[in-house]
Order: sequence, then C-alpha cells, then structure tokens
Amino acid sequence: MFGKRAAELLREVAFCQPDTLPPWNDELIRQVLEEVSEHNNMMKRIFRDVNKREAVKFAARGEGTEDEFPGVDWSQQPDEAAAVIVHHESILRNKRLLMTYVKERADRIKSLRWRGRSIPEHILPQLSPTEVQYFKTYDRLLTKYMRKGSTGIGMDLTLDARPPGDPNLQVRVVKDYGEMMFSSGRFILRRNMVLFLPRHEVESLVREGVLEPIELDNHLVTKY
Amino acid sequence: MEETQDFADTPYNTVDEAVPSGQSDAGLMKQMLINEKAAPEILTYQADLVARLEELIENQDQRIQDNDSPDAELIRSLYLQELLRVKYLLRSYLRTRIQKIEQYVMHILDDPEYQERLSPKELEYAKEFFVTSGQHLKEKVLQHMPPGFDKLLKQSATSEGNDTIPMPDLDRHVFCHVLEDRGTVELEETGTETAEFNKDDLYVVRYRPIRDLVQDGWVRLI
Repeated sequence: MFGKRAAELLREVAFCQPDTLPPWNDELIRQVLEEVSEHNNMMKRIFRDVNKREAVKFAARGEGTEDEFPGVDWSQQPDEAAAVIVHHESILRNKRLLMTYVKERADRIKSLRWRGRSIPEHILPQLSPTEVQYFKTYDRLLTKYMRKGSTGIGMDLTLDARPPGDPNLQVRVVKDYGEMMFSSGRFILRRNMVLFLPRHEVESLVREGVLEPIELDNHLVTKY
Repeated sequence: MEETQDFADTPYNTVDEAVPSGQSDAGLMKQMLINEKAAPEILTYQADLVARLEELIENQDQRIQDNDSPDAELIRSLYLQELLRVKYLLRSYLRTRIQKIEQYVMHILDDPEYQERLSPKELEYAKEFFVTSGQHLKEKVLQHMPPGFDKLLKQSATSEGNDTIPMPDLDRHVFCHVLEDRGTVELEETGTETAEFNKDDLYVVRYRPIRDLVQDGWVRLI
C-alpha cells in the first residue's frame, strides 16, 4: 500500500546498469494499478458515507430534507478528511512513480537509437511490445529529421559523438564482412586485414564490431 | 586579423584569436555550441549561421575533390581535417538542441515564445516527439488510471493548471565571460544585489538575471 510497490518498480530500473534494462514488469505494474483503483474506491466510499451520514444528521436536526443537504463541511470531519487526503496523495505518488518508470525506460530506449539502427539482441527480450513500437516510431522520427530534403537537415547526428582527432584511423577487421566501398576504393573485408581509412567512414562499422581501431585511442568503441 | 574585420562590430569578435577568413563562422558556431550546452533553456536557433556553415562545408567538400592530384595529399588532408571539425561543430550543435527539445518538449510547446526559438524542422520534430511519447505514456499508464487522474499534463482533476511539465531550472548557476563593458547588472529581481560587468570579467551567477545578456551576445557561457 501507499506506493511501496511502485517504488520497488522504479528501483528495478534505477539500480540497473545504464546500458541495459530490466525486463518490463507487467505483473508489478498490474499490482500498482490495482492499488490505485483500491485507493480510488476507498476515497469514493468515504465521500459517499460521510455525505450520507451528514445528510441524515442534517435532516434529523430538522433543517431540511436529506435532498436539500448543502454538502459536507470537511473542517468538521478531520478524521475522514485526513483519510481522503492520504488516499489522494497515494494515487498521485503511484502515478508519478509509474510515469517515471515508463519515462526512464523510454529514455533509455531512445538512447539505443543514437547508438545504432536496431535494438541490441540482449535488450530486445526485456522490452514490452509497446516499447518495441516506441523504438520504431522514434527511429522513424529521428531518421526523418536527419534525412536530406524538405523534412530534414541532411546530416546524421549520431555520428561524431566526440570531437575529431586525426582524420584517418588504422583499423583491423575483426570478422569477415564482404565487400565495402570506401572513398579510397573497394575492399573485401576479411578477418585480420589492416586498413588505414578516414575515421568518419569506419565509425559505424567500428560500432557494429566489424572493425577495431588499432591505435590506443579507443574512444570509438562504445561498450554496447 | 584583417579578414575578421567583418565581425568587428559584433561582440563575438573576441572569441577567436587570429583566424583566416571563413573560419570565423566556425568560431561563432563553437561559442553557440558552448552556450547551448551550458544554458539551462533552449536558445534561439542560429538560422543564418547554420546556413553559412552548410555552404562552407559544401565549398570545402568541392575543394577537396578538386585537389585530387597525388602531390596535394597533404593539402587535401588538411582541408579534410578542417571540414570534419566544422561538421562536428554543426552536428554537435543540432544534436544538443534536439536533446534539449526532447527533455523540455511540453514546456516548449506550451509557450509560443519558446516555439519561436526553434527552426521549423525542430518545431515539427518537437510536435511529433510529443505525440509519440505522450501516446506511449498514455498507453502504458494513464489509460489505466481512474478518471480524474488520467491526464498527462495534470496530476489530478483538482490541479490548477498544468503541473506535470518538466521545466528548465533557470536559477541554476552558470559560468560566464563578459564580452563587452556592460556596467551594473542586477542579480536579484529586487535590485538588492548588483555586479559590475566589465569586459573579460568572469562570473559564476544564476542564469536567470543574465539570460537576456546571453541571448544578445553581451556575455558568453563557458
């Protein structure tokens, strides 16, 4: 009760490494939502009971019929008023926690798009179908903004996350990849081949794990 | 230095030391990027500057292609290096803005003044992003909440106005460098605390009192 479960839910995400996600916890969310509806029912019941009771008292005092009762003066009912406030606040707290849970996950899903065009295999099973859909919609949206033409700016903003250094980079091919076209010509990428290529042309292949920079400067390799 | 005379009348001419012509725009962009990164709120989109840089990038691209003789290898790699740096600045600038737009999307769309600070494409993006993430929250949480608690922009039906909108913290402290003599600047709304802003002074101040100075280019953030 009173938001404990929702806090637990959020803790799952908060205590998880930033590069992964815990599984979408449908069961716990259902429980939290149940709790919310319970709070809501209690609140309604208190409203109804107090209204009824006070209306009856009102009629008993002979000030009018039950239907003419103008409404409860809550300042005279401190116990019930406090109960209503606690239930109300509990709903708000649960709502805030649930929203934060969904938002925090959505933000991490968003950041996946900045690292690659698809959801990494180890994360995919942790997502709910709606979240997979969210990734796809976000992908479309961002791709549209970065596309050439009237809708976009014609620049891939996910490139050069760090300021450029030497424009060329020596890389080793980690796994066979097939033929690739570079500005200096066409190469068939075979394991253990060493190439010296413009940094911006190899960046995405390095991120995919096809190429590996040889120099000490390893900042292109993000650990995801 | 003569080539930078065009910019002598803007307060930004101090940003760059001796720079060859055409690079002043890159210097300006560097400052805009730093301002954007340091300011809590989204700043006005530098439409002209971005357009000039895009042109510059295109020219430089052309120049690299024209210099394709083997002897020009060194020249070509220097041009390429410069090109990559300019591209980096531009991309970082636009990327920083998109991230800020996403973070404060509701706040921006709620206020016409902020909307004007975005480029048309950014505004389009903001609107679509708001729909996407709003939809997501609705589907996952809001539609399962009891009536009265199912609104995205309000905590409950009893809230006065919209009270769930994340706002930038304008009272955050920022580091700033004064570019032109500005005299006395009020640091409190009540006018009880003031500071003398002289050229090349450095201050750590709350962002709110200097936000107009940043916008108008009297100070830069660092």
